[in-house]
Amino acid sequence: MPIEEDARERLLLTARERARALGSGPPEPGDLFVLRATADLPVEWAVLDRRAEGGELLAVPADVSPFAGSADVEVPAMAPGGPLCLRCRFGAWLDAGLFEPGLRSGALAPETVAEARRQVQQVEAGTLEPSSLAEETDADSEYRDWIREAPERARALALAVRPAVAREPGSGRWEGYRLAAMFAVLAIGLGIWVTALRRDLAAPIVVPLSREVDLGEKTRGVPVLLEVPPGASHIELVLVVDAAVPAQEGRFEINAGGRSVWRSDLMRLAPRDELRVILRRALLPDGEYHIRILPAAGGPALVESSLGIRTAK
Amino acid sequence: MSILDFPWGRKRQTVLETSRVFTDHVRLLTQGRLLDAGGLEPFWGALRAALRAELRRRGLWESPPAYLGIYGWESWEAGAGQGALEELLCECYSYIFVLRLRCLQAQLKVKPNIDGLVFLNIRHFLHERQKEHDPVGSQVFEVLRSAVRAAIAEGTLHVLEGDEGIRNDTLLSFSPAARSPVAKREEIAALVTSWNDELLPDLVTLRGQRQEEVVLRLRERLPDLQGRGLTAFSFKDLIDPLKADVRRRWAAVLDQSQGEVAPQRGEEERRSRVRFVQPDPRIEERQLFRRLVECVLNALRRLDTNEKTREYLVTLWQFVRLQAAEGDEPAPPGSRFEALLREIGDEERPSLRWLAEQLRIPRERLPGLYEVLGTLLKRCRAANSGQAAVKALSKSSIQDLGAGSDAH
Repeated sequence: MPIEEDARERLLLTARERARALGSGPPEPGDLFVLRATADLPVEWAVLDRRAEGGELLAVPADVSPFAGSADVEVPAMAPGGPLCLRCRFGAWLDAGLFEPGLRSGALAPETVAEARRQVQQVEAGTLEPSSLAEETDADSEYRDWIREAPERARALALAVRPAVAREPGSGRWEGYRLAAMFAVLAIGLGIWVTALRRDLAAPIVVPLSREVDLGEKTRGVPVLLEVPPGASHIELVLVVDAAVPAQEGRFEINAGGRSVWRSDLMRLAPRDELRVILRRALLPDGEYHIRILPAAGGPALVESSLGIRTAK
Repeated sequence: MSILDFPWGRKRQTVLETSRVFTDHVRLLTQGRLLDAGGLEPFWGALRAALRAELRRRGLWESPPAYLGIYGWESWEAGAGQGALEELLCECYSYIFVLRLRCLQAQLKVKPNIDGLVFLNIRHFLHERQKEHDPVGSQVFEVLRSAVRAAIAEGTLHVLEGDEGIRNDTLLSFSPAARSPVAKREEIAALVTSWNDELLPDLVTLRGQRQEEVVLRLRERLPDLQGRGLTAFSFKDLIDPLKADVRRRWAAVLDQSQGEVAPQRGEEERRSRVRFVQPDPRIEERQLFRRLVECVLNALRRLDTNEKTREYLVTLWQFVRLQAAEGDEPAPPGSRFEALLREIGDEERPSLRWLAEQLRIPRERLPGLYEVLGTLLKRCRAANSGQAAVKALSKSSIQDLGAGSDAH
């Protein structure tokens, strides 16, 4: 079927029509938001309800993956906010302070909100009656992967965050938040930046860390101290290659007392490349560690940074 | 120890330094502007390259474009500049930058670069289209992948190389020490296709909670490979012949009743006969089709009959549903309900003898089962369109049906 010459132009014009400014204002049921706490994930949050007291909002993660399982509410393409899938199994009561007016991203129809609320209630009550097609999706391996990697992670991240008491506009991307249990963004060592994400993968963190790390704090050359909640089963590290490291074949290594406790596969490393590593807590007991980039050709480490791990009290 | 390589993770970082072409496009759209002449070709070139790469990764590059609902072309490379790939490219653009633009704009509020999300959306786009237009192939892939993953989790199969999520390029072995796949594709293909003697029709008709049953049965077959000395192979070595054989057997059922078989092509043989029943790309039509499929499945779940009859009905309905969704040419609007009706109706029913053999349903039961499905379908259609039901399903007719040869 031949493509008309102006087909692309028409598409471009249609897209421009859809690109419209979004309003701002305090979060209300029906609003869609992106949260800084889950900025690494391709999710939005749909606000479903507000507690009468306490300033908390019931919200569920939402994404554009085409899978809709038994606990999800599908928003059709032609409905407000659509196409979108609301992951109602991962609803959470979140502090309203997490929902910055400037990060409002859309709105849902009231009937969609009502349906999602019902779905959350049924999930909580264990009375969900899945349709046959939804059960087919539940059994789909790609759907299971997606749920584990996006909404489940998003919920854990959002629950672990506490909003800032006050926020000064224009003072940086991460301002407005003190992340009690989530991110410690620190510059360490000679060239590896480590973003440490502390959480238990099996369940949301319910015990906050005793020590908070202010984002933006940079301690080049000083060991990064990672405080891990008691009982956490895993530690997630995001290893980012510093811009000063030339592109080459190499691998990451975590070393303790001269003994390698973990090594990545050989890979092509380029400045600002990022590797996420989730390690069992048992592999990284409290102690001092060195994180290195080793060249594929052998020889000494290209860069090395220190990392201290200890159990939060 | 585990390393998670998220679908959008590392690629996003690679893109971060090398490209912002998609991000820039969304930013421009947000400002109400369009790409200038100098930016157009790099943009379309980048989107085309990304789409082509994903088609290859999914093993779709060598398959007919009809598997993704692009009709009238034999290959992706035909009709240079105005062919199947360009048609898919336009649809892909619409899927991402028109329908999902709001979501991309939302992510731009917290991300400096969203090119990785565009790659992720390309995957979603192809996955959705594949499920829609190639339901048989998609289901076979899903079951085999689940079986392979189960074997890996048990420690009997190992990933030597490639995507650990299990894709065509994943190299597998029964021994972690193996280094390269055995080049015995024909032998692997012969063995794998023989599994279908026992696995069909459940391989494509068992869905939902019952899918696990056929996954387990296929999982138990995998050690046959080791028994034949086939210790290392790629996932593609398994999936291609398995899919091709299912399609061949599926097509044979229809060809018995309708004929008109065109020459087959490539390793993934496929029936090329032009069918009367085709999918309709319109969103509303697709949604109605899904509602009808779901309505009938739910009605079957509640039907007052014995379990054996219910099992036959579900199997036959899954077959009808797949047949109505598959096709080699686009359909006229409103055709999906008609497609289902024709599949059930006398005029396009496959040969009952062949159908009974393939679906393992007693032949004498088939006319009655078809009648029940036809009645349920019409009731569901009426329920979803506000029309009156054509015919009520009486309990006595179901009981009569259930009195058949369940012992078979």
